[in-house]
Formats: sequence, structure tokens, C-alpha cells
Amino acid sequence: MEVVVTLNTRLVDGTPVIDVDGELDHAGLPEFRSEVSNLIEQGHRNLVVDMSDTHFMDSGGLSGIVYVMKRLAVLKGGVTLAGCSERIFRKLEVSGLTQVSDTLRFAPSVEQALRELRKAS
Amino acid sequence: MDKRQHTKVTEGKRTPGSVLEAIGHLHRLSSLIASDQLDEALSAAVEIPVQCLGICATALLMPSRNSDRRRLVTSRNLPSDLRTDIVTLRDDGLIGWVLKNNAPRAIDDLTTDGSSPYLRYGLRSAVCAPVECGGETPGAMLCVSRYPTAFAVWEVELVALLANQVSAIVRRQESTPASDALPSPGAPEKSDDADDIVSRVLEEALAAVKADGGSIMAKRGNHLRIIASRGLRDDVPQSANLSDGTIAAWVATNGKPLMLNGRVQDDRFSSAEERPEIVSAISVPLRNSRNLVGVLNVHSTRPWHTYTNRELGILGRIAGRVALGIEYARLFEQSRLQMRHLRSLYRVARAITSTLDLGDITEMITQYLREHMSADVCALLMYDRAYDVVRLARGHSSLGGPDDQYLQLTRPAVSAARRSKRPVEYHDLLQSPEYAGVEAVRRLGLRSGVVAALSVRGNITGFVAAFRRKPHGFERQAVKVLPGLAELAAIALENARLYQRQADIAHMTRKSLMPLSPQEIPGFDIGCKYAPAYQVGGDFYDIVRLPDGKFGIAIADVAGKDTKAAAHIGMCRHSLRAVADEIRSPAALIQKMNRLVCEQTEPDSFISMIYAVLDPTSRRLAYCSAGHEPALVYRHRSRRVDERSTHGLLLGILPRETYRERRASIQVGDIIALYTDGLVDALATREMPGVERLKSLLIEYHALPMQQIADLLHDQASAQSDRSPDDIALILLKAL
Repeated sequence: MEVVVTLNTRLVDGTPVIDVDGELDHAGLPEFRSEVSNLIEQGHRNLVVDMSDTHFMDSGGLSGIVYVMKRLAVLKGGVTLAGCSERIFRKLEVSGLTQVSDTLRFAPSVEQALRELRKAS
Repeated sequence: MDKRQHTKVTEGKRTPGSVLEAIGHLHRLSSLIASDQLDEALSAAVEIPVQCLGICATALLMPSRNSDRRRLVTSRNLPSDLRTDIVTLRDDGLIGWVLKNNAPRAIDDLTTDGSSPYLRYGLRSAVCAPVECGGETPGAMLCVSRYPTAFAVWEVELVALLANQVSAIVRRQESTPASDALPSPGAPEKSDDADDIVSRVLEEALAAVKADGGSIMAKRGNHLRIIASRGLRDDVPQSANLSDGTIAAWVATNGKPLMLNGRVQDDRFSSAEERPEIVSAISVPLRNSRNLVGVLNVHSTRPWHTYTNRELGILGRIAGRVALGIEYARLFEQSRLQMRHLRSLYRVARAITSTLDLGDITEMITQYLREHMSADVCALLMYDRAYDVVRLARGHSSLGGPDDQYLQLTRPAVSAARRSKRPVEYHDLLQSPEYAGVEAVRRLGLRSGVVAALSVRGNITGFVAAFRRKPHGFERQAVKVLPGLAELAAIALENARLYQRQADIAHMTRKSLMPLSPQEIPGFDIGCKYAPAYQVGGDFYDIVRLPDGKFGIAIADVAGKDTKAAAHIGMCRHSLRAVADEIRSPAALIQKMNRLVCEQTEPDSFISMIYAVLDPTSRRLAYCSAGHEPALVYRHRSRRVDERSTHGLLLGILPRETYRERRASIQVGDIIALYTDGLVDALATREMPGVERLKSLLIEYHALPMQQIADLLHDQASAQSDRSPDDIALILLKAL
């Protein structure tokens, strides 16, 4: 399967921001999981995923979100999805993941997401 | 002053070799040698370990004619300090061992011998193989690596094969005379084979002393075998034992020449050979500086002819070159045989790795054993780790026999093959205690056998076995390339098996996914569509008739497109059917399914699902959703479409999650649509979300038969979707 996603991670004030450029689906899943895994191993408990350039997500992408939620829930951390499109947000609503817990949060932009994180800490 | 740089010992990994690549390189190398591009060939030979085995540096050392030091003929990437020292390196535990034992050796971690001199140069592992140079001290081909490494059997054999090719190259190069006035005997011409070379050498010897006939005998163990002759009677035996008491035997044993004129009685040997036509004869030993390699015999049939010390002296002087010639012929033949085997292996390698069909691969392997190893009986057997049994995959016998003979013949060798990891050879089955009771050996008249284990990532996956009716039936060179074949075969079979398993699961899954018979619900028109995107589908749907006349309707989306997902679907479907019978409440069923999915799948596996129970008489629907797209209900009276969902969580996330259910009343003309997200994703456009489009299409098509609508929706989705397709599953139910 062709991988049509590019992942770039940058650190902003010590918080990793994973930029998902393209589609978040089965093909890109291994890379996404490995990136999350690395960041957790480096000691991060709070992540921001920049979804502003993510134009598609399917059950593979959901899988990735579930993965990062489960890993961070154990560490009492959380993941903020920033800048989700309507479509993707709806998919997440349908899945019921938005109701689960505080582990999964949403923000309209990366800046807002980081601001919320700063407020919380 | 010690100018050596002490390179740091690095931790890291060597990239392991690819056997297919290596065989390709060897094939190219043999073409270079065959076309006499010897310099290029030598260069390529030392390059191959670097390219194919992740070796850091290679060195080719040959013995020096005049001194005790070795010569560094060529090298690749050798650190400069090692390059200076290597010619005098002693007690290195590697080159010394190899030269003494004339066998290849690999050291996976040089630090296990703390005093290894190689550690000084930052090296951690090495492989070394002897390079034959015609009976004297062999040369050595040394491959070193900065990383500690476990060398596979076939990799060590590869280096040994390269060393043999190198010896052929070097001999060929050195036999081109530069300053020699006389042409060396045995210098090969392009179309020569070993027999031609030796015959030429014999002719020169006979001409030198004006002999009428003679022979060259090569010493092989305790035998002397005639490898070239002229003017001998047909009944002269081709080989003699050293204890036979013949003249040649005496010369070979004592290492001294003999000259006989007239018929003499001499109690140094028996005149068992009655050769009245021979009037005078000389036999001289042929040796390279250390070993006796054969005997040269010349004779004259002219009456009253006598040989004198003059002829003895001539033969004595050329004996050395004659010896070289026959050694050369032997090496030449050996490397030609090797090249032939390598070429066959290359062809098989390409064929095997270009197919995933298990049947084709097993056929090619047994064919190779038949054709290139001349096996009378051969077999390929697979080892099933789960049950610890060996099963026949394919067997062939030119002598017939039942299928169970292959297992019978291979079993005695299995434990040895597993242990040694090299091919296990039996030169005479009748002498091997392991084969004492094996009936097939006697019935088929088999005398020699070779069994090699196939392994993938260190685990045994099977065996290849070949048997012949001839004792010592397998050429050494053929056995030497067998590890290469075993490696290839193991990988090809593993790939084919994995592919087969995937295909089998997909097939099984699809069969088990389709409702066993298209369900009919009284009073309803049903349309269904299931179109998996790949071989292994990720969605499933089911309509179950419940004992009380109601129907359970389920549609689900399993995350993942691999065999794990397929297995989950199977589990889901069967659990659903089992549970639906007992649990009538959709919420309770979903709750139970959630626990099952949590327990029986990986933590990050999940399934989205809607489950509804329809009472066809009352047309009442109870439903519960778990992370799934909302059901749509087209209301005939208002020509509008409602969304129905209970907004539950995906199955498989939280084991103790509770779910609710809701009810809906269905009127005549209403259509219930259950589907998976593949459909709505495909229907979505930039302007309109997929669900909205689906609603409008339902309104548009509502009057058509349900199956027709299902097909139309699927066509629409396939036509429109611009990304790689997702599975599409859809159930439509219209109340009539």
C-alpha cells in the first residue's frame, strides 16, 4: 500500500506536536504508532496532533487515535487533536471516543491546544 | 615507534547477506572467469563479501614461493595498519587454523579469545577459507568485520566457494609465463578441460624420453588412479591400491623413482603385472614441495632398448612441472564443476523466488535434486513446529515406491541435520548404523545420501533429502552449494506459506462471512451488498433468524486489513450467532460482544457495530450502536430520512462500558439502511458529506427494489471514490 501521509514532529515549549499531513489510515498506522511510542519513551505524557492538514481518516486512523489514547491514559496524560476537519470530527463523534474521558481533547488550533495545556499544568 | 592507530571497537550490526544476491554475484564472477577476464574476476571476488555479506574488509593471501612470509595479493578496504601486519600475523587463531586444517572457519565474536590480534584493529568477527594452490601450503581468503556477527552456514560456504574460485583465477594468472623460456605444462587453453590438460602433459613427458607409452596416475587417498595414458593394453587396471605390490605402488609408497630394463625379478615388488611387451620402463614420483600427488610411468617396447640415467634425469627434472600440471587440472576441474553447480543454483534461485505458488516451488526443489545432484530418490519435507512433526511436501523416486518411504529415509538423519546445521552426508548407507533397520534402503538399493535442514531466522522449517544408488554418490561441489539451496528454499517456502495462509484465511473468512443463505424476512424486501476492497475483508453483516420469529440484523466494521482482522471477524460472527439466540436485547448483546472483543483481541483492536432486532409482524425495531455510523430510516410518508443511533462506544475499548438501546416504529414503505463507513466515505464530495448524499440517493431511489438500490449505491460509490477503496457493506430493508 502506498503511504500517503507525512509525519513531522516538532517540539513547542517542550510539548511534541505531531503534524499529520495527508491521510491518517491503515497505511500510515505503523509509522504513527512508532512515532507516538518514541515520544512516550522520551518521557512525554501530553501530545498534540496537528490535524489541520489531515484530509482523511478511516478506521486505520481511528486505530492510531485509540493507540495513543490507551498509552497516555495509563500515564495519566492526554492527546489533543488540533484543527480537525468537520468530517474527521464527526467520525470521532460517531466512534464514541469523544465521550470516553479526558484523555482525548480537541482544540481548533495548535496554539489553542498548547494554551490549554499550559493552563492545566 | 608504534604508528598503529587503535581503532575503537564499535557496537553495531552487520547487515546479513541475501543468498539470492550472493548467487547472482557468483554467477557473474564465473562468467568473468570463463571469459578470461582474470583481473576483473579477482577484483570482483574480493568485493563480493563486502557487497553481499556486510563484511568490512577482505584480504587474499597467498604463500610466498621463496620465503616464509605470505603475499598479500589483493584486498578491499583493509585498514592500513592491518595491511602491513597481515603478512606476518602469527598465532591469530584463524588463518593459522585454516591453513593447517585446510577447511573454512568463522569466528562470530573475536572477543571470546581475548588475545586475538585482530582486536587491535577494531575487528570483532571474521571468516577465513583456504585457497588451494596445488598441494603446497594453501593461501587464505580472509573476511573481517567490525561487528560481532553470527555467520550463517551458507555464508561461510560462500566464502569457501569464493576462495576456490580465486585459486582457479590465481593459478590461471600465474601459469601465463612471463619470464619462463619454456611454456609451463598444464597451462590451459580456453576450450580445455582437465583431461586435455593432463593428456598434453603426458605427451610432453613421453616425447622428452622418446617413450612408446605411459601413464600418469593421481594419488587419491590409498589409491592410484590413471588419469591419462597412451599405449596401454585395454586390460591394464585403471586403479591400483598402494598395497598392491605394483611398481607404481612401490614408487608412490617409497617416493623414489624406479628404472627397469629387461625383465627382472625384484623382491621390492611383485611382477604381478605381466606385461611382456614392455622392454624398459621408468616410474617417477610426482610431488609438490610437500606431498606426493601421483606417479608418472613411461615405457618402451623397442627390443633391446634401455633407459639410462639420462632419461631418468630428464623425467626427474620435469616431474615437478608435471605434478603442477595435474594439480592444476584437478583445481580447474573442481572450479568448473563448482561454476556449473553455481549456475544451476542461480537458475533455480531465480525460478524459486519468482513464484509464490507452493506447488511450483516444491516441484522446482525436487527437480534440482534430481537433475543437479543426480538423486535417484529425493524429497522435500516440512517441519510443523506446532505438532513437532515432519511431513512430506513432495517426493520423487525414479524407482517408484510408496509415499511413506521418503519419511522413512529421511528420519534417521533429521536429528543430525538439526544439530549440525550443515548438510549431513552418508557415503555408504549400508555402513551407517542409523540406517540399519530402514527397509527402503534395501528395497531401493540406495547407498549414499545427503540431508540438509532448511531454517528461517534460526528455526528449522523443513528438510531436503537426496539419495543415490551409488556409494559416495554426491560430488563434493554439489554438496557444498546445498546450504545455498537450503537457504533459498527455506525463504521461498516460508513466503509461499504465508501467502497461502493469508489466501486461505481470506477464503475461509469470506465463506464464513456470507450469510449462509440469503435471508428472507416476511413482509420485507431485502437488499444486501458486500464488496471487500482487498482479498481479506474488514466488514461483515449478518441476518439471523431468532427462535421467537424475530430477526437479528448486524453490520460491523473491523479495524484492520490484515489476517488478524479477518480472524476477528470470524470470531465476531460466530459469537454473534451464538449470543443472539439467547440475548434478545440489542444493548445486552452489544455489551456482551464488547466484553468478548476486549478479552479476545489486542488492546488496540476494535470493532464498530450496529445490532438491531426486528419484529416483522409488529414492524418494531430495537437497535443499539457501538461506534458505528447511524442507521438511516427513510420515512415514506414524509419523504425524509431520519438518522438513528444510540451513540455508543466502539467495541473493544472499555470492557465494562454500558450501552443503551432505542426503538423505532417502521411503517409500510419505510426503508431501513445499515451500512459501513466505506460507503459514505466513497459517496462524500467536497460540498456534501457522505451521509447526506446517501440520504438523498435513498429518497431518489426509494421506489426501486432493494437489491437494485443496493447495487446502484455500490456502483455510485465505486465510480466516485478517488482514493483506494474501502470495504463496502450495506443492508436495506423495506417494509412492504
